Amino acid sequence: MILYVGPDQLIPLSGVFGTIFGLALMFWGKVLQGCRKLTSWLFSRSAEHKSQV
Amino acid sequence: MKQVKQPLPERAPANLRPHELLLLAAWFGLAGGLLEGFFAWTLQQARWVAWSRLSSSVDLNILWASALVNTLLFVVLGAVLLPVLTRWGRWPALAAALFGTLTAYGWLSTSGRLRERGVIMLSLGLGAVAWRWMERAPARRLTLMRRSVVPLVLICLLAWVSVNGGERIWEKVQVARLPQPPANTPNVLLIVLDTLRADHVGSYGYPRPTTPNLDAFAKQGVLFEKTFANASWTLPSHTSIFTGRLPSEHGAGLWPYDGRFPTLAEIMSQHGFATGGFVANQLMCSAAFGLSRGFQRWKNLSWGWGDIFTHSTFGLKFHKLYRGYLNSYQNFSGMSAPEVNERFLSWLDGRDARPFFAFLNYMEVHEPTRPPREFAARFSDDPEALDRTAWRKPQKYPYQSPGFRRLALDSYDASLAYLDSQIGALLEELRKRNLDQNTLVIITSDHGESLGEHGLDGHRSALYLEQIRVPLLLRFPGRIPENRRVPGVAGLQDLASTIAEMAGVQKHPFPGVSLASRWSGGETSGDELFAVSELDHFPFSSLEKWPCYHGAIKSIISSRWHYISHQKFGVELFDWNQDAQETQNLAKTEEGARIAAEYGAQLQKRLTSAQHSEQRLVAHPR
Repeated sequence: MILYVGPDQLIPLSGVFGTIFGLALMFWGKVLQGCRKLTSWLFSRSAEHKSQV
Repeated sequence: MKQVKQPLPERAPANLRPHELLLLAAWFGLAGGLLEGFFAWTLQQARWVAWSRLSSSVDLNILWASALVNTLLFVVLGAVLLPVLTRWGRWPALAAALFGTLTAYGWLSTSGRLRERGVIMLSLGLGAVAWRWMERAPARRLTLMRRSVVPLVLICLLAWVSVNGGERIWEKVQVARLPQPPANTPNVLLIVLDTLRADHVGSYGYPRPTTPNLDAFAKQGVLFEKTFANASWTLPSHTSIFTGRLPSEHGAGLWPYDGRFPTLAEIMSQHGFATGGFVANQLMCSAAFGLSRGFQRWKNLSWGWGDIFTHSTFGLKFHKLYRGYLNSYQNFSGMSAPEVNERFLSWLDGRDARPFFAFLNYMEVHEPTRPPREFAARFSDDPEALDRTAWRKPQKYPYQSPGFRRLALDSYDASLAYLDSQIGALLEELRKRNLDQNTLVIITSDHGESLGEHGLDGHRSALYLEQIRVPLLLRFPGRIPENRRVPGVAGLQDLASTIAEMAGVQKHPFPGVSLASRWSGGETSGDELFAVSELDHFPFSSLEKWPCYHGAIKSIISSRWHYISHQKFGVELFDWNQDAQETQNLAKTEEGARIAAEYGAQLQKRLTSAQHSEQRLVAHPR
């Protein structure tokens, strides 16, 4: 029961979720840019680690 | 290789004309409104809407109604903003963002269950998506809109035609499947005057001339002097009338009625009656709350401009803002008594020869009361003040002041007099159609109304006498004696079995005792007569001053004693024959404590018996 997440648990959080998704949609370009940067940073770290090993 | 981002055009292409802003607005209104109507209906069917939204329930007409309201609002807004917006070269994108945001807001607000802040932010985000969509190719997008706006208008028209036509076809199919009832089966007309308290009816001793037509009707049949509703508000009380069960049995109250027991309309329909419900109460007496079960025709909304506006999402928001701003109770929607009469008589004239069971509900004495000026002048020295009372609470008359009390009382009585005149007109129409001789007509109310007693206003707050004592009048020439008054206690849950028996339904599942034995002079099995009423716990902050906010309430009443048990505040006992205002609580006296204990046990016995009752068929020989 603790792990149950249904509508009654999510609806009170709808203000938070709505704000997060709304901001993401408004600044979609920046969000995508940030995701690409994060992804490339993560991949470059992973490649660096493998080359060191 | 990194892609070079193309710069966006600073100006819209020269072939875009500013008035196409209106086309864009109309397109968003139509497309968005159609989807919004679809969401509204679907979510209501799935019961996934907030209580406040459920009480503005809709039918399939919301499909075109939402589109119409949104289109009108957006086009007007577009026309107002046109001179300003179109000065900017990127106006198509800005307009798309504006109307896209509004459309998304309408969609997300449909259920009423999402938090407002989240709805606004998400709508702005979707508006930004619409901006980017339009920005990429404004000319192409507007061409798409130009080409699709006419099909969207046709879809709305098709929705209007098919919903209304479809209702008629569905009704004809249902009626065609009905069995043929026996010859000489009577008609049944159940009239509920919402919020009418018995002690404001002339036949019940009220000194003001509020109900001359009801008084004349009472002389033609039977009047029950002590009738009590099973709840002090609409939904559980109507459900008790329709099912013959107590509120704790049928469960309708905080939740819509789920159909666990058959209703009067379902049983009558199974026995060949044409069934129609014409209901002015849109708040708690609607199909969304499960009360239309068994009715082949159910009319709750007239879908005039008032209904169209107040049942769309934006219309509802404007309506709430308006009422909040003016601190008023003005209600733009809902059928008036003449409209209820007209729709019922129109249905009556269009049906075939089979007997009918019709249910009519009128809201004229439900707050906010606003009697016509002619009737206001009969009951008040200041008829204009009654208008002000209905629309706002003026500074001159603070809410609980004697001045306001007087206006509220005059407004209630004047509205009742108007309603009485409409009932008189309806009965006259029945007579003209030669239906008065072979129709059982029942006139009652679902609950009463506090008009300042116990510091309360309205209903659904407590179970005092003024909120549960209702009139009950029956007329059926040749089967019910004239000018008869029945002194004993009756509960509205006994109406279902009474109606079924009088209509000749041989086997029916309604518990309760038919009231027919009362006017014949017979009594029931020797038990003293009681009526039970129940009221749920309503822990909503707006109701903090009401008794029901603090706990559930149950009551049992006999010809003399009224026992009320509050979950938190304990027991009250009133000798209501001596103390009609119920101000002297006798529960703490020695004799009162003894009587309270007896009545408490009696109440518990009846509630337990009701909860363990099973559906049973009761044969009634004619």
